Amino acid sequence: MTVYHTQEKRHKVLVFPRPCVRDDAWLGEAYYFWKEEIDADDWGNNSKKRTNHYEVYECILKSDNYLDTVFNENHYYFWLTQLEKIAKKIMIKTGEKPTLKELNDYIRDKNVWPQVDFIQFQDLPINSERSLVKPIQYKNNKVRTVAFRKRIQIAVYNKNIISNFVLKKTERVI
Amino acid sequence: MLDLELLEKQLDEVLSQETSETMSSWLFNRRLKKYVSSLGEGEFIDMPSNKLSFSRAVSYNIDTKIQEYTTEITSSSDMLFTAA
Repeated sequence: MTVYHTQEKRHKVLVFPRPCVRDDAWLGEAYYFWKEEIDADDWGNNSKKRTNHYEVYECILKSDNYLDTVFNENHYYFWLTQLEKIAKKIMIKTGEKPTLKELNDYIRDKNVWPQVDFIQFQDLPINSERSLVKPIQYKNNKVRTVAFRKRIQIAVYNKNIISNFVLKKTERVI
Repeated sequence: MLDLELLEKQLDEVLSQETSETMSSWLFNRRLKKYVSSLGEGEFIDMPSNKLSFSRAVSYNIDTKIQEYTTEITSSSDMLFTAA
C-alpha cells in the first residue's frame, strides 16, 4: 500500500517519517500517513504553514495485519466496541473521561495488540475548495459543504513495515 | 489477517487486571507526559539547593532588622533634607 506523509519543509530531507505525538493525534502516538495525495497536500496547506513550504513524502506499507475501520465493517464495529469498552473501564476505575488519543495510547502502552501493525481510519476532508461537488446553497444564502469523499488516515505502530520512504515533492503553501 | 476474537480476548485479559490504582496511575502519567511535552523541547536539570533553612529564618530577629532599616531610612532622609 502506497501512502503519503506531510511535513514542513526543513533544512534536511527526512530519511524516515517523524512520529506524531500531538494531542490531536486521534489514533495515539504513531507514524501518520494519508492514503491519498490530495489529503497530504491539504494537510500541508492547512497545518504546515510555519516555513511557507511543505514536503510530501511517499512510502510503502508492507503488512496485512491492520485494522481497516474504513472499508471493513467487521473491523469498524470491532474497533468501536473495544474502544468503548476501554473508555467505560477507565471511567469506572478513575472517574475520568478519556480522550480518543488516550484510548489508543492505552492499547499501545499496555501492549494489548502487538500484532496490529497499523489502523486505517477516516474523517472528512476540510478543504471545500478542492471538492469536485458544489456546496448546497440555501435560500437564506447559507452554504453547506457536503464532504462526499472519505479522508483516510493511517496510523502505523510498527515502524518495521515502512519502506521506500522518499521525498515526492516540495510545495509552497497556498 | 488479524484474528478479531483473539484481539478481543487479549484486551479483556488486560482490562480484567486493572485496579483503580493501576488505571489511575496510568492515566496520571499519560496526562503528566502531555503536560511536560506541552512545555516544549528541553530537559530537566538539577538546580543547586537553597541553603537557607526554615529554622534559620525563624532565628532571624525580624524586629531588630526592622528597627535597623527604619533608622537607616530616617537618617538617609535627614541627610536629604540637610542637603536641600
